[in-house]
Parts: sequence; C-alpha cells; structure tokens
Amino acid sequence: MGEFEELVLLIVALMNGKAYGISIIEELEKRTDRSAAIGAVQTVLKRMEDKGLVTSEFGEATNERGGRRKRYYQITAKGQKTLAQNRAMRNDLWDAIPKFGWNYGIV
Amino acid sequence: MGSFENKPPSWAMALLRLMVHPEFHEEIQGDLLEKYHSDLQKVGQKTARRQLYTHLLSMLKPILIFNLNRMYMNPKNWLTLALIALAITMASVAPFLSGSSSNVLYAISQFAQTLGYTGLIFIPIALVWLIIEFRNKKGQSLNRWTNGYYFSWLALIPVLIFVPVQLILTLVRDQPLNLWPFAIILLMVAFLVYRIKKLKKKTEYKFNPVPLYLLVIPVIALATSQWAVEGAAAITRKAAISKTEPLIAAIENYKMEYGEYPNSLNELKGTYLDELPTLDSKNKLTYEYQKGNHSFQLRFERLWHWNATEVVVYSNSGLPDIKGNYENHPAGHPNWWYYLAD
Repeated sequence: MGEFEELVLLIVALMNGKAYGISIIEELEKRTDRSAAIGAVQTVLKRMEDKGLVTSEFGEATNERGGRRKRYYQITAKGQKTLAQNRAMRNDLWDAIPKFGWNYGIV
Repeated sequence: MGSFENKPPSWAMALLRLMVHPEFHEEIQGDLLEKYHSDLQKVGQKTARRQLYTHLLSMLKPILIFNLNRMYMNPKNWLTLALIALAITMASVAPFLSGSSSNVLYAISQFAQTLGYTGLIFIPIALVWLIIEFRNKKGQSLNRWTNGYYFSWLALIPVLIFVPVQLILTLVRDQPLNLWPFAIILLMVAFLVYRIKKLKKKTEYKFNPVPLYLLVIPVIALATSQWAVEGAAAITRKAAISKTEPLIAAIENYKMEYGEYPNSLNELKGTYLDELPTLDSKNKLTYEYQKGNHSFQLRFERLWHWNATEVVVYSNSGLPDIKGNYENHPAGHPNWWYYLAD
C-alpha cells in the first residue's frame, strides 16, 4: 500500500462513515497540510474498494452538488487489518532504531 | 445572485462526462461542483476556475475512464481468445512443419496469415466498439449502437465485399481456384450473421468481447506470420537443404569424371545416385537443376503466403541472380540463399 493510499484510508477510518470525495480532500488538507486533486482521491478510493479495503454507498444530494448524490466510503474489517499491519510494521522499524545513535544524533 | 447559480463552464462539465466512466458520473460531477462552489467563495471565480481545470485533468486515469475495476472478461471469454490465438498460430505454421504440406493446409495457412493484413481494417471499428463496450453502464438500457449491433455490421461489410471481389479476381485472372478458404469464410460469415441477428434484441448490459477479439486476431495473425512461420519455415528449409548434400556430392563427382556438370539430374541416376531426393514425400516437389558454364544452380520453391513464393537456391558461383522483388537472405548453409518472389 502506497503512502497516499494509506493516508486516504486513515481519513476514511477517522471520518467514521462520513467520508466522501470532497470531505476526504478537506480533511487531508486540514490534517496533513497537503492538497489533493479529486481525480487522485477518486482513483485511490476505487482501487481500495476493488481490494475490499473500503465499501461505499450513495448518500444525500445537495444544492451545491447540483442535486447529485454523495458517495460515502467506510472502512472494512480487511481495511482495518491492513492499517493495523502497516502501523505494527512502522512501530517495529521505530523500535529497531538504536537508541544511542538516535539520542546523540549519530544516526 | 447565489453562488450556486454561478456555474462552472458547461464545456468543462461536458468534458468531464465524456472522460469519466458513466458509473462514476454522479459522484464525481457532484464532487467537482461542490469543490468549485467552495473555492468560489474562498478564492474567487478566476482561481476557482483554474483549480477546476486542474481537478478535471486529474481525472485522466484509466481506472476512472474505463472503470477497470469491473471484471469485463469472464473465464469463457479468455478461453475463447486463447483458442482463437492457438488456432491461428497452428493454422499459419502447419504447412511449414516437417511432413505436412498438403494444398489444403497451405490454403488454410494463407487464410490465417491473410487475417493479419486484412484484419487491420477492423481495428478502427473494433476500437470504437470496444470503448463503447467499456463505457456501458450496468442497468443501462442498450440501443443498437451501444449493444454493438451496428458495429458488427460495419465490421462484416469489408468481409462481404472482399470475398466476392477476391473470388471474381481469381476467376478473371484464371488463377487456380482453391475453394477451401472461401468455404471457411462463408461458414464464418453465416455464423456471424446468426450471432448479429441475436445481438439486435440485446437491451440489457453484458460485456461483449467480440471487439476485443477483432483487435487481437490481426495482431496475433501478423505476429505469427512474421515470426512463427519464419521460424518453422527455417527448420524445414534447413532439413530440405540437408537432403541435397548427397545430390551436390554426386554432381561434383560427375564433374570430376567428365570435366563438366551434367546436363540434367537424370544423368546421375544409377551411377551416382539411386534416387533423386524430394522436397517432401506428399507433393513430390523435386529440386530444379540448372547448368552453367563452370557452375550450377539447384533451386526449389514452395508457397509462402497469399501472394508470395519462397525460392531456395544453391549456387556454387556466388550470389544467385534474384528475380523477385524481395531481399535475398543466406539460408544457413554455404552457397544457399532464399528469397520471396511475387
């Protein structure tokens, strides 16, 4: 899983059923200070849906969307497991850094 | 005027609908509009429009254009494609393999190889048809364009023109008429017409792999014609050349004894050779012999494809005089060359 894919999956998880294209982009900008194009986010969402990491369903339509419905994304058990594995792998790597070198700026 | 009435350019939305797969239209159009209206309030119209174009460009991804996550081909479709590829390859190569050069096999091989060149005319139709197949949406009611009915007829028209024209040309030119390719094509056309008629009634979405076959078949036929046939032909050519070693030795022995080369190969029979070698046992193609002043040539010919004959020449006085329009190639044995003649 790529870094951007992991970030989008984390945002979908933390938004707890309220994640859709634009809300994901806004949350991403707010929390990571990086902007993302709609096409990039939609590509990642479709790919993750294909892998079974997220599921989606249509929600409500609004005026600002020209009467078009939002598609809400939700993380699946497989998505949660993937995120947990990624986190464990990162923790292992952090734990493996030699304390002496880290504390004295040698590494 | 409310900000929702300040709409993005209609051409941009039309372009979006053209680019993005219909199954994603609603959510992505909605996202783009929502983002535009939000940017409009924050940064003004000029910047909002610039950002809209950036988002539009970001949609240029195969997954969003063709909805590639969807399983278009089922195992039966893949199997059909593999069988077609295998049949074309085997049919093209068969007469060039050892011991199998009947006229029927040659005719079928020519037909299979011809698919590579004539099949190229299907490619533009197949490409448009395939894009429409990819862009069809689940639950959509199909018409005669989106169900492929008109495209099938468009693809069949060149065949319906080509077959009678080729038949008439063969008869007018007084060329030997081989009915096998025509019989195969007629059977295929009858089958296709039957399938097209069924297609007319199709209104529910189901991926049709035919345009993909129309794209792949010419490519396979061309690749087979260019490489596999050449590979198989090289093996049998070398085998045929090897058979001539006793014949060439006998001709040289004749010259040592009489001081000149024989006038015909029949003069070698009995004393120098028991039997003249044949190219293959079924067609009884023998080597042609030509005597020069201080040299001789041996040659044999075989059909290559629709419009060319392969000529293989032995010349002990250097490069032979080539009469075809094609380049000559060394045949892998000393003093042997081969070329394709019209």
